[in-house]
Amino acid sequence: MNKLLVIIGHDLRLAFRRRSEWFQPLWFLLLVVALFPLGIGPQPALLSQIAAGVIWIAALLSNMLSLESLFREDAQNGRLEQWLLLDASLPALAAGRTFAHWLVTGLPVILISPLLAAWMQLPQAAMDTLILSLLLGTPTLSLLGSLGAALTLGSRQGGMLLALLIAPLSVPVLVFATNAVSDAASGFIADTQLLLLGVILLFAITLIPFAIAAALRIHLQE
Amino acid sequence: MDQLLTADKVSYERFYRSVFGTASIHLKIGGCLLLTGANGAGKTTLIKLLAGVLRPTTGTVSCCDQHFVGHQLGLHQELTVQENLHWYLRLWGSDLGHREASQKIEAALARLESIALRSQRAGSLSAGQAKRAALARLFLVPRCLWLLDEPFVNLDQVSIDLLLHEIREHCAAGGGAVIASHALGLADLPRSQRLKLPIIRPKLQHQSVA
Repeated sequence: MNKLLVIIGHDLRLAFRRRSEWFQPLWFLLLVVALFPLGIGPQPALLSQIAAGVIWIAALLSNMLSLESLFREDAQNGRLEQWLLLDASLPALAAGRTFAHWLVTGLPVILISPLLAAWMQLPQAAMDTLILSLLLGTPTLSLLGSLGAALTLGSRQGGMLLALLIAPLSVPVLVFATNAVSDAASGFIADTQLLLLGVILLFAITLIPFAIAAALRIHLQE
Repeated sequence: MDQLLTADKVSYERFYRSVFGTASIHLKIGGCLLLTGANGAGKTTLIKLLAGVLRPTTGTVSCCDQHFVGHQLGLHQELTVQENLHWYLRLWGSDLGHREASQKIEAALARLESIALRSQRAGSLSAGQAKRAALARLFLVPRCLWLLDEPFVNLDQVSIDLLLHEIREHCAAGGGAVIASHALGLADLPRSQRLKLPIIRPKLQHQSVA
């Protein structure tokens, strides 16, 4: 547990030192969402209909952008080997790193989501659901992406491969989340979808760290 | 228990091809083992097996707690040497305050006369300086076994002598070391054994030292 905090604290400090790394995906997200009203034109009704999908797809893409380098640096400089030699569980360390990553890339998305929702004319009634769905969904995306980053450590064109691997796996999160938000926008209660997102997150938290650890081990065996 | 390290008929296959045949190693307290062999003979692979980074295809390895300094030095390029070493210190479970930790780091760096490197970023160090910074890990936390992969490469003569001295002291104090190196002769390290890994032809071979 102590080591987990060390990893998280260290990653956060490093992220703070190179602000561009986590600022870029956020900037990308803002740009993509901002382009939609410009491209579609002043049609509030249409915008508010596609708002949930646009915000969520943009969040998904920006999440992928930032993930490729998650383990790459440490694999190259040899610190990943040293992770193996600690008497701490590798899944826990991998989960710690993923959590730190979510704190610097996932959390800001949630914080700026009201702004995005306003641009996309999302009805006020759906705001809570949007924030909740992001809160439950983005950690799952980070975990999946972290797994992808670990699996693609060995390949040089890791980024593209990572997107191809992770996008299909993210589909359930995307479907339930956008469905929840558009249901809430039309005045329905979206509890079921949010609960399902929570279930997916619980599954992801309990299982994916072990998969990440296995992928990292395989990479180090090469 | 007077064995620091026991490797029993260890082998490792990469793409279904044995890297160095099989090797058995028994290292007693105070022992020092010199791994030699041509390029590609499997020195790095064997030392990673001993460290536990790689898992052997057959055979077993058991050893006491160890320091492993490999080809990849384990330093983050964007952190200073001090921050890098502090990271290790904390990961290894030390809950020292900031001041004690930096005293400890300073003492560790002093062993190879590298205190001047302390506040430099690891990415800006020369190859030899980076090696010295990485080797400072050995002195950060005492551990009985040192596994060093080519520790003398890139070091200047003064640092080589200092490191040799530290290795001798460590072994004399009841520790042990396994060193993969081209540059070293048995004369440099008294009481050391040598395991020469031959280049493996398809036929398997077995090497052993007692």
